Amino acid sequence: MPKFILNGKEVEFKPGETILQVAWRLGVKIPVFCYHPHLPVYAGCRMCLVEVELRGRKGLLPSCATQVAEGMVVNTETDEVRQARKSQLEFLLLNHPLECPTCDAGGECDLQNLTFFLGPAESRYTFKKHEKELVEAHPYLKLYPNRCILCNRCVSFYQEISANDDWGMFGRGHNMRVGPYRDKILDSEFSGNMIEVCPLGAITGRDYRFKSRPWEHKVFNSISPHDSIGANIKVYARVGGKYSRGYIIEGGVRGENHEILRVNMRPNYDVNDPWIDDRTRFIHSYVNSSERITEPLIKREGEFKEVVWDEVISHVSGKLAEIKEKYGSEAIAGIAGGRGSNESAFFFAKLLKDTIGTKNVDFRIPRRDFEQGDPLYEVLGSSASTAKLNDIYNAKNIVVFGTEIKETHPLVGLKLVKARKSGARVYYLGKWSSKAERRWASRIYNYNINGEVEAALSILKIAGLKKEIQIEGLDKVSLETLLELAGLEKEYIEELVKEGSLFIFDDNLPYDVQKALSYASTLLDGKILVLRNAPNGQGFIDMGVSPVLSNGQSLEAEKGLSTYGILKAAREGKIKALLLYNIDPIVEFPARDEVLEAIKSVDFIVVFDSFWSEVTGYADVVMPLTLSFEEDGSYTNTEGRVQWAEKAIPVYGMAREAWRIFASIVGYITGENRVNDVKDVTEMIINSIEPYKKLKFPLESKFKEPYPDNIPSLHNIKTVYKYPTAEYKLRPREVSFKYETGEKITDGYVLVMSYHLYKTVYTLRTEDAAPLVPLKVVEMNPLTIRQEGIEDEAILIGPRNEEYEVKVMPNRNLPKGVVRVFYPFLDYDLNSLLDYNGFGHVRIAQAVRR
Amino acid sequence: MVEFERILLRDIGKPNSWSLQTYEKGGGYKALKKALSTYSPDEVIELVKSSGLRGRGGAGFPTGVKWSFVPKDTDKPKYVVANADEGEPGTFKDRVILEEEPHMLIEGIILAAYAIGAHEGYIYLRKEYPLARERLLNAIEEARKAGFLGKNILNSGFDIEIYVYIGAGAYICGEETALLESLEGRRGHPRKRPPFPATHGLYSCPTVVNNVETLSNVPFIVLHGPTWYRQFGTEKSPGTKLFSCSGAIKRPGVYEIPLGAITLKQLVFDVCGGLKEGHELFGVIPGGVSAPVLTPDEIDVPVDYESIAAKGSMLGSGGVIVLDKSFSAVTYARRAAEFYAEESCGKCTPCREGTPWLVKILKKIESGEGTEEDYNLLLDVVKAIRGKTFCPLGDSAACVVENFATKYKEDFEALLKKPVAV
Repeated sequence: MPKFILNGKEVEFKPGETILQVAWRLGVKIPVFCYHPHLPVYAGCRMCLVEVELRGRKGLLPSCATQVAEGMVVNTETDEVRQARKSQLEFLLLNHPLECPTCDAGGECDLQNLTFFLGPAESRYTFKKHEKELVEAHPYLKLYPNRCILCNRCVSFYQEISANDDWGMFGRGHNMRVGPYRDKILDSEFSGNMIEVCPLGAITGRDYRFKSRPWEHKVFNSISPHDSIGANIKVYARVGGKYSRGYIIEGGVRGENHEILRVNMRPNYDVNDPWIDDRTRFIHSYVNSSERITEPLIKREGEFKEVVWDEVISHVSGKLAEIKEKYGSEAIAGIAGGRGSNESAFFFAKLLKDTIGTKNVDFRIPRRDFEQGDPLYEVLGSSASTAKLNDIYNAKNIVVFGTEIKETHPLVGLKLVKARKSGARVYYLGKWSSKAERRWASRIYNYNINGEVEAALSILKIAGLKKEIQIEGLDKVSLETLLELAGLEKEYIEELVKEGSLFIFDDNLPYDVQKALSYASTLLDGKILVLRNAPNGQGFIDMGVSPVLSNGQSLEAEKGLSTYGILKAAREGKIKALLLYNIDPIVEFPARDEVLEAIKSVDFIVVFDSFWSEVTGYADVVMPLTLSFEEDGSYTNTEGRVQWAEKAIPVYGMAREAWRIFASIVGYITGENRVNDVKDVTEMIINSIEPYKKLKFPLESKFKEPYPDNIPSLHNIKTVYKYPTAEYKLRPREVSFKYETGEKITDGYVLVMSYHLYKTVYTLRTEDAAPLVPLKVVEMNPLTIRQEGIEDEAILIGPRNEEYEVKVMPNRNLPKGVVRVFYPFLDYDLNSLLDYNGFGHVRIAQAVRR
Repeated sequence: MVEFERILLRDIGKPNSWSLQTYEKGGGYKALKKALSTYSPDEVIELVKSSGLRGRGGAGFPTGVKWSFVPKDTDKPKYVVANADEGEPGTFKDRVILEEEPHMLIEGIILAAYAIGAHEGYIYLRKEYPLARERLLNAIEEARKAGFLGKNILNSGFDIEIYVYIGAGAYICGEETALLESLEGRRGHPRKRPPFPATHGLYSCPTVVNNVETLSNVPFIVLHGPTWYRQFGTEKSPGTKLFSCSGAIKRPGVYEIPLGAITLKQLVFDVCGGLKEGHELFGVIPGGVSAPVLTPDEIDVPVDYESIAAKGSMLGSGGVIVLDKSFSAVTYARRAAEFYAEESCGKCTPCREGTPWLVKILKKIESGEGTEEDYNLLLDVVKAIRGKTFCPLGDSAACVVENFATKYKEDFEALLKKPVAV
């Protein structure tokens, strides 16, 4: 390896390394402001100047931007270098306000720390400091331009990493400032990362502002509960202390000061890199929602009565045994929401499948076509993605199909931006597309609203034609017909079907779409990345919360009922007991009326949930569950990575971990010993679930990056985490399709169910999200709105002339005939108008005039 | 008065000097025809190299050498960019070419493009030259009609297009990398170097950025050969140079003078006719505001790159500013510092924070409120800026202020508050 001289010692370097990288690697401290290891080099702050001598020429050069060359002589601690650092600090402090005592970053501030170590003690500046106005850029962000040292880190992140453009630098010289373009709210789902890359407290977050001092926190390693990417996070919770207002009683009941102060990212280069999305960062106060269920309750004479845990366990166990005795185990069913830990899912499946003996267990949405089984298993022999998240970086050709990534799995968007920037072709096919997709897609094609299946089948058909493979069931329909129904051009689709393609899609898409894309990937030697819509969807499949699979790669001997089947059977009176774990079918599923009818037809309903909801009213027993921040447990993300989340705050009220409740019922019915430690459950999972057999406890491993201690803004990326993945066996199978061209809706307004980043069962339980939650909102194309003469509010009329009052927001990305409604339906009951596939038909009769 | 043969300025004063007709009558586009028919691209580079032509924008880097840095085996497109963002205070020489002889520049760009294998040329023109824009666009249109621009020009198989891009008025965009950023539609911030524009320029593709005057020299070198060219100027600074002379002189204007042929003193007193009545020489800035000032007893020096550099200043853009004694050195320094504070792009700390500080201290001294301490602080701040900035702008600001403050210390001391004896 080539060598150079650093501070008098001969040192080896890798070609291309900068002076700063080598120095930090060897523990030589060089102070920085604008340099950030995960952002493009800016070289503006001049804090990292070092003395460089090469071929007889000597001078100060920025070490962050200077690549080491053979024969260089570098000194990082000469008088001149020290004086230069002092000068830069003096310059930066000229106009910096003395707000340190009330600044959020106090104690975590690079300017504070470096001034302490290297800076001048006094100011020689006798003139007035300039004052710039406070900027509210986002409901979650506040910018203090006076504090800003214009290091450009936030702009680098915002423009280069998230490929967004409404935040930047303005003006020049001493009039320069960062901020949003115009006074618009930032159109970004990643804006919170700017708080973390800011070396001081110029950008502050709403949840944390003026709340605490950094030394009051205790930090817990957790996993984002919001989506199935499983972003690694640090949860900062208040702990007791002399000057603290809060306190924690271990194991006891939570006091009113027990709060999560903020959520920051934890670097994991397999999953989230050093970034997280705003929903993960800012939405956490739902843990203290007034809608939390606090006590176990049994309904007696139409009213809920608070009972102790032992009583509710014995009551439920007895009731279940009784129903099984009387009607057979098939009369019992369970639906889950896919939000709990693996441990809880494991015991949920164990309770229903092993103890009670029913296979009527599912966590998926009630699509009718899911009755057929598991689409991925049918093609691949296992129900898991064949790609890892980071395969996005390796793929040359990426096809994102049908998923609004920004709304459901925002972090995938960041990875796609990086992939596109390093040369991959990224295609997006969707019902419609927005600015979010334009940030990462090289090409966007919109298929017809109801042409989803045909679009996927045409991809498969083209793949089949390229490989000269006949696909059973698709030979009767021509490619031209499929493309016409999908509304796509042949040459465009032919272009994106390439060898080694990576297909990205979500698991709420029609059965045939998932099957077709999986099959196309096997034909093309490509991979699939399935984005589970349930936050722990992959974990729930692996634990066997499925009517067809006993784990991610093994089929059940006999098939149980899917969610759709359970609801249908319930309406027919065949289901006598229904366990609802973390799900409210009434507000989370389409076809509200049918779901409601099903719920009403069941004799005995047990609800396990954290929040009061509509279905709790129909429950016979309600049991309060802890949330992910209140329990230890493992979660499997969408790529099969098994990650551990730590308990950060004490439980709320009498809530209990779901696995503990299920295990108690199992114990009560079978007489087996109860399990008391979550790690024992994890052990059971590792021993019994096939793809998890190679996992070892603890799941987490870490390594340290050599970043200097005196730069607090790099502390969060100092320790990098790693988690193992489950290993699934692939057994590709023969595939056939039963495709028939059906009747398509062609006129009137189509109601389409979709997702919104800030409308979830969690965001609806906290005031924090309020400014961004689309409450009672439907979206329509502005042209349609004008055509119908709608002003803000309108009334939607269903097929039976039922009326729904809604707010109408314009969205110019939508096709004209579409009314977009948002899951979940806690605020309006528009899901009455939707069929099981999430489509509906409405009229807009009149505009509401004020 | 001394008179020299006019090379670049040969058409000045002729009717419609900016038209293709006039330009061709004087021998215009002959060089292009000759190059396309007889020289290979490498030979053109070799001609320019051996002519010794140095960049006329200020740095004086050998042009042929710059061109030879452009990689030959690349599949990326290459670009030629003419830097017509003439923003250096006291400099207005390119304006004459742009407004009066635009075809000379266009021919130069085409030759440069042919030499490096570029098929697109850009003229980055400062917004303050609307007449130049009009004449350039006309000239481009004329050249296209005459077959000098477009596909397969003069049946040589070579394609070239030239576009005019109007800057937004920032001084820093005269710096070549900031110019490229601006040309790409970004903020005019300088880029870090290396990589240099020759390999990673416009859109990260190989790019040659040359000053207008530099490119305008190329047709003559190609047409008459390096030996002819070297008869003008000195061994190390061949050719003629345009000097834009301003200040309290009798005949301000643009003069074309072979490098080193006369002294700066002769330029001021003979060519420009000396100072106006009632004005006394204070000093001469030889190459635009960024060049350190020379005192009256330092100006007996030949006008070429080396001689002036030996005096601790630089020939720069050839913007000769003659200062007279109507103002004090503090005022001159303050005025210059204000310019830099206004034009600092804000990217790096020392320039962004330091230049306004210099202005504030200078204003304090100018108003008679300053003390010995302020004078020392001024020099301290100069030291804190110098050699630490991202691009030469901050350096220039520091050097200019330091120069006035040290060379004319008595002017400063006269304004400082004396400590009161107790």
